[in-house]
Amino acid sequence: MSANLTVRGVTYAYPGRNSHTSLVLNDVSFTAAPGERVAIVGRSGAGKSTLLRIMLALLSPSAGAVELDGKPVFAGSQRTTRWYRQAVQYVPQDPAVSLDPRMSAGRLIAEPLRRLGALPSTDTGSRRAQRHAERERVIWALRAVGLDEGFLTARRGELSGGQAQRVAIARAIATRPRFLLADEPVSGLDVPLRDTVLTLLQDLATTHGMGIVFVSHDLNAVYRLCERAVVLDGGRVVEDTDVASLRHAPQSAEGQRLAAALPQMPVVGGVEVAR
Amino acid sequence: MTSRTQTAALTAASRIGAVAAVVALIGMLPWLSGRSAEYTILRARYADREATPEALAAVRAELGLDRGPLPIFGDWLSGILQGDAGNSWITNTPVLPGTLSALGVSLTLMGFAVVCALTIALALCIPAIRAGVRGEPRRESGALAAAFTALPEFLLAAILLIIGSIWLGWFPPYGWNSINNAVLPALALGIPGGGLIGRLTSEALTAAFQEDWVRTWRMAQFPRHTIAFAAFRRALPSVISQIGLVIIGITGGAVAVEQVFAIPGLGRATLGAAAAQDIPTLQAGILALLVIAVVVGVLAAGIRALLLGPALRLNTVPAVPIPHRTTRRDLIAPVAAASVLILITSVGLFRNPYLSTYSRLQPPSWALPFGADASGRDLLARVAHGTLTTVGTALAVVGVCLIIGLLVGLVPRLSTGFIEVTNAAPPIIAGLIVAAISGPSTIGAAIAVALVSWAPLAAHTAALISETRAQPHIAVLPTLGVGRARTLWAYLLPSVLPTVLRHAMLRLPGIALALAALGFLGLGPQQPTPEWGLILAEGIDYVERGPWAVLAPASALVAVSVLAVSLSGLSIRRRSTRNSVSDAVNASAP
Repeated sequence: MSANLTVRGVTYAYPGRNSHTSLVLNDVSFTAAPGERVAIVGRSGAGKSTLLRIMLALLSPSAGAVELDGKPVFAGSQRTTRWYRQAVQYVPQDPAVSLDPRMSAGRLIAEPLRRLGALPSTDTGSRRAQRHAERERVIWALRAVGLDEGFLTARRGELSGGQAQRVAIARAIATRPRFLLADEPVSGLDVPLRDTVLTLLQDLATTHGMGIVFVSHDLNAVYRLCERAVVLDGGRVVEDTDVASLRHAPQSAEGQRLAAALPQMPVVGGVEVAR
Repeated sequence: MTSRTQTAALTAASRIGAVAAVVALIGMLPWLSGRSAEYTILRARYADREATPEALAAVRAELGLDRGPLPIFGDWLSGILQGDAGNSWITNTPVLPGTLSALGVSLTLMGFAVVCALTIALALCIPAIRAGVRGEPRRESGALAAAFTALPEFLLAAILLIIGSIWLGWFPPYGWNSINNAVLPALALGIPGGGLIGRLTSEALTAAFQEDWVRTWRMAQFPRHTIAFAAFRRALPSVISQIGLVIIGITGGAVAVEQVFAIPGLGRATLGAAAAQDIPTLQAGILALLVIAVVVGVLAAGIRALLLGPALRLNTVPAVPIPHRTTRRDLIAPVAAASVLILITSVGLFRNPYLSTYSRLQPPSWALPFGADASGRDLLARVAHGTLTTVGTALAVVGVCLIIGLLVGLVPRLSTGFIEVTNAAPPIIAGLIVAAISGPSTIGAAIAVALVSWAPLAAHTAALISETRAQPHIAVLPTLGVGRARTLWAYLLPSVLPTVLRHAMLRLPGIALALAALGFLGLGPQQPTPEWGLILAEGIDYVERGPWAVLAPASALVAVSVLAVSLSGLSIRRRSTRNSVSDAVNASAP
């Protein structure tokens, strides 16, 4: 029984261009185990974004497949991807602006529950029982990200930056997914907020057993959060290793470049320059 | 993705579909015409025959009306392609020669009108050019002045007829014999169009003069006329499509103006054919009017392509952004015009518009502030109740347009062609078609105006939707299990609705004027309904003995014109989305 999220031989070519340059992903394979925190790193153009779109079932690969528990998923109607979206949720880049400004936090968090039918239908089946279960689940999600039911009616404009991030993450975990896919979720944030979000993701992984696939070019955040790193270069996996080895003994050229590009302070003309 | 070729194919298909639909509509008019045509023809041609079922059936068979829509359309289309537009139902003579000579008259008149419009437009641009080459900020021209250049053609024609032919006696009031006959009609057609073109062009010029390169050129001591010419070239592409639309609008205005001045042109012939239910003549006339519109549209697109050159293909020329500042002074004109309308309406609403209690054409007095019309009815009461009729109908039209605009705007690629075709069709031509099908009525006029007024709202909706779609909170929806339909209805529609609703309300006065134009031509409500256009049309016959019969409805129409122009000048507030656009680009491609 493998409760894993597996990327198996995924290849992607943008249609309508000639074969050589257009191969964005070339036979990419790796696996994320339950509760595991995996980073996908690489420079811009390495294929991270395309891989993420495929893993979100927004794009179908040219070859290969993304599998959850051995069952493949392909981009398609909401009906055919519902089972997958229940189990694999998404924390977008700059989560705060992914909240519809017209809707209350309670409604935002309930939306994936309703659309994905993530709540077990109650025995009585009454609307009221359903509503109650939904409310319970929304409050659970709010609590899990460190907010309380006082935020149910708050709209984006009434939330601080950190609170909005938490609401967006609460929405992602409302269906109790087994994996969270996060796309540079801290790249636009200031340092304290960044720490809060990273800690929160780590807590979710440890307390609720959610696996995290963390796409980033920010190695500091990767070191902070992840256990394993998959290095992409030119659409290929060039290294798949634990984070400590990537940090101290990278094997691939790209891994070395990434690690070397991260001195604590940039050095200009022999003088350390404070940021 | 191959979305670009897909989009191009969909757009092309939609254009072809729209043109085919219009041609099919015209070709099937004899079948669509719900009023029993055979009575008309029997009366016109065989006045001696009884209207027995056999006689009517014989007429139907003679006209080929009993064969169903497709054969009728096929015959008409093959006839047109061979240069035969059929025979008139009334005179039983070929339609084409008459249509062509009327077309010649109309094209001559339009030529004069375009010259007149461009002269006025150029004159209106001079202050902007002078201020621009000196580098001074230009004071915005007053909304009131703009409003007078934007009176609807039928109203302006009536006013010019009174002033130029009756009071001053300088020009003949009707006919088409000498150059003198063309002066007033050309002015009536050219002033509104020229005013609009001038206003748009001088705004674009002012914006062009504010761009950085002008300062550089000025510092480099370029001659003034070189800078002025360059700014003109820079501003022109962004207004040339509008100029094309204005000239197409002149084809619609020509119908009203030819009617007022009794000019034997295409518009008057077509209007007469609609009234007499002479469908073949009507078909030929409408087809000719639409051909003019298409030719003008293609010319405008061609000139724009010539001016822009390769930059158009590379899509690298940013449109000249037209700066909008709404100040408190901009509100004076609409508030004053609205107050006048409310005053007239609230006083006159309690008087009876139908009773002939006064003597014919009784002059204004304290008891009868606007005087009486030719039937001795209270003009204040008629104009006031006319506000309710016209503005009430206009409100209904705005509602229908809003719904159509929103629905169509949600599927923008499929609707491009229909938006273009309806955008270019003047309401009067739509009114002619609808009147031919269902006879003149309030509802018919409302349908005609709605048919051509939804397009700007649909275009605006489409633009807002594609802008909103790019925002992160919409881009994230698929991963939450929100399907396409629900994204449209529950997310996109509510977020664009307030802006489009506001835009629709700003169009209310313009739509009221279009309805009044149809009423004026007899294509709208019939006697004794108090409707502004109809009241004006009644008054014109008695203008020499009782000018007040024209002044009363004209003043209400002028107030609405002021309202229409000053409101459309106010910028449509857009949701500030600029900050989130870069986020959107990142977030939409995870």
